Order: sequence, then C-alpha cells, then structure tokens
Amino acid sequence: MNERAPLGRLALGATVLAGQRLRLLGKPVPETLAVLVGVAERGRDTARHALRRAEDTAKKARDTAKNVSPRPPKRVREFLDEARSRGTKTIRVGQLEAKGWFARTMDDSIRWAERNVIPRVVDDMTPHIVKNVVPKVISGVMPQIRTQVVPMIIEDLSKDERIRRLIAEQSHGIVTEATEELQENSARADDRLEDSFRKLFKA
Amino acid sequence: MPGSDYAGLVTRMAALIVDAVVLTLVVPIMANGPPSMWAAITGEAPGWLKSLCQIAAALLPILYFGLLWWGTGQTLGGLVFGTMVRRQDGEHLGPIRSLLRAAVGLLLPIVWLAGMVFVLWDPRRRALHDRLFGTVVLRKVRRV
Repeated sequence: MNERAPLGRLALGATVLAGQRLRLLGKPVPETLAVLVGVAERGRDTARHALRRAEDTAKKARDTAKNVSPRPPKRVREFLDEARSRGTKTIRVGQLEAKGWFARTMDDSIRWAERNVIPRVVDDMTPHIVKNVVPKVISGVMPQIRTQVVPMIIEDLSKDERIRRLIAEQSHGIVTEATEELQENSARADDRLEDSFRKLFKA
Repeated sequence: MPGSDYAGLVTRMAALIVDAVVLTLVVPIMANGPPSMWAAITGEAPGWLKSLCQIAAALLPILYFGLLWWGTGQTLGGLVFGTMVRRQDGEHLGPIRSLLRAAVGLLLPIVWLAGMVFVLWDPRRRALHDRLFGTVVLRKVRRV
C-alpha cells in the first residue's frame, strides 16, 4: 500500500466508497459491477499484451476451438467467474487504496492548515475582531443584556428556593451570632459587676 | 457567682430597656393609631373609640409582660438577652402570678428598680420582686 496506487484503481475505489456512503451501492459490492470491472480489467490486460500474445493467437485459437467448441457454456461460466473474482479483488484493493489516500490527504491537509493557514488567519483576524467586531457586538448586545437578560437572571435567582434558603440561613446565622455574642457580653458584665460589688463590701 | 445559670443585674436591666423601648413605640400607636385612622376616613373619631384605645394602651404593658411571662417566660428583651422567668422550682409561671408580677412592677417602678439591687448578693440572683413572687430569672444560653 506504500507504493503509489494506479490512478484508475484509486478513482474506482473512491467511486465505490462514495457510492456506498451515499447508499447507492450495497455491501458487499454487487456481482454485476465486479464482473464488469473484471471484464474491463481483463480487456485492458488483453489489449496491453496483445502484441506479445499475437504470435500465439493461432495456436491458442486452435486449442480453444478444440476445448471450447464442445463445451461453450463451461468456458463462458469460467470466464465470468474469473472476471467476477478479479473485479471483486480490484474493487476491494481500490477501496482500501482510496481510504488510505483520503486519510493521508486529510491528515496532510489538516497539518498543513494548522501549520500555515490557521495561525496566520488568527493573527490577522484578532486585531480586526478586537478593534471592530467586539465593540460593535458589545454595544449591540449590552443594552439587550441589561434590559432583558439581567432582570430575568435576577428574577430567577430571587425565585430560586435554594438561593432564598441560603440568604435566610446566612441572615439567621448573622443574627444568631450577634445575639449570642450580646448574651455572652452581658453575662460577663453581670459577673464583673458582682465581683466588684463583693470586693467593695469586703474591703 | 461567675458562670451562674441565673441572669445578673446587667443582663436583666438591658432586657428591661429593650422591653421599655418596644413599649414606648407600641403604646402611642395603640393609643392614637385607630382614632387617627378613623379620623382620616370619616373626619372625627368617636369618643368611645378614643377611650377604648386609651384603656387598651394603658393595659398593654401589663398584658405584654404578664402574657409573655406566662406563655414563654420571655419578653422581647428576654429573647434578645437569653433570659426567661421561671418559678423557683423551674416550672412556668401561672397567669395570676405573671399578671401580678407585671402589675406590681409597672405600678411601683421605683420599688421594682430598687429591688433589683438584691440581685447583686442573692445566691440565685433574685430581685426583691422575685422573692415576693417566688420567681427566678434564668439564663437560657450559656456558652462561656
């Protein structure tokens, strides 16, 4: 998979993947398509090696005539089986190559964008956003927040039972603490006054 | 008697001042409020309403002290300073004893205040009127 994939097979794999993503093709690939691809591939191979095979054509033709003529359906079936097998294999390989190619391409693109594009865009856009966009947004939104959002939040908070309970507990705690301190101070004052009274009369 | 469970002179006088302030605010309202409201609506308050309000205002301090000592043993001043009036055996005061204690205190305030000096040497910090009515003033919360 590391060597560069043939463009045709890559395109085939991408087309099949796209067809499967769009649910135009099922999984696995239909046999008809595999046969067509196999036939096309075989035709391509045949054309590619036509010259080399030309010398043997006559002899092969004679042999074929001898072998096939008596059993033409078997030859056809073998041909179709081979074409289907070959087409299926080609499509599968094409799918894998297309997936790998897409993944590599996306990763490379994202890395490139992260390294080269995004920092530059952010650097260029930030002063513009801070100087022009943010003040406009704030000046446009703040009146709405003041008149609509803040009162709503305050109303929600004031109606929230937990907040009310918290405030009540805090208020009650402050009052209780102040009262207890007052009581302690008055008790100490009682003791001091009586001590002074006793000292005075003892003396 | 440091650390005593009984309220001393300072605490009792402070509680009494709180009660006096409350009554100073409420009694005039009781005496003049309803006639003033009536006058605002119809122009002139009837004499019976004025008399009724005067009587209610005069009785209010006795009812205030008497009913609160009977009910909880605590007036507002006692609530603030954590004191409560009880019988010497620790039980709640009855209504007669409470109302009599309040009436004597309000009708003879000089005797009442002078009798408070007894608190300074009494082992249970009882004032003169406490000895008279068989009561004590307990401290409700003692954290010190």
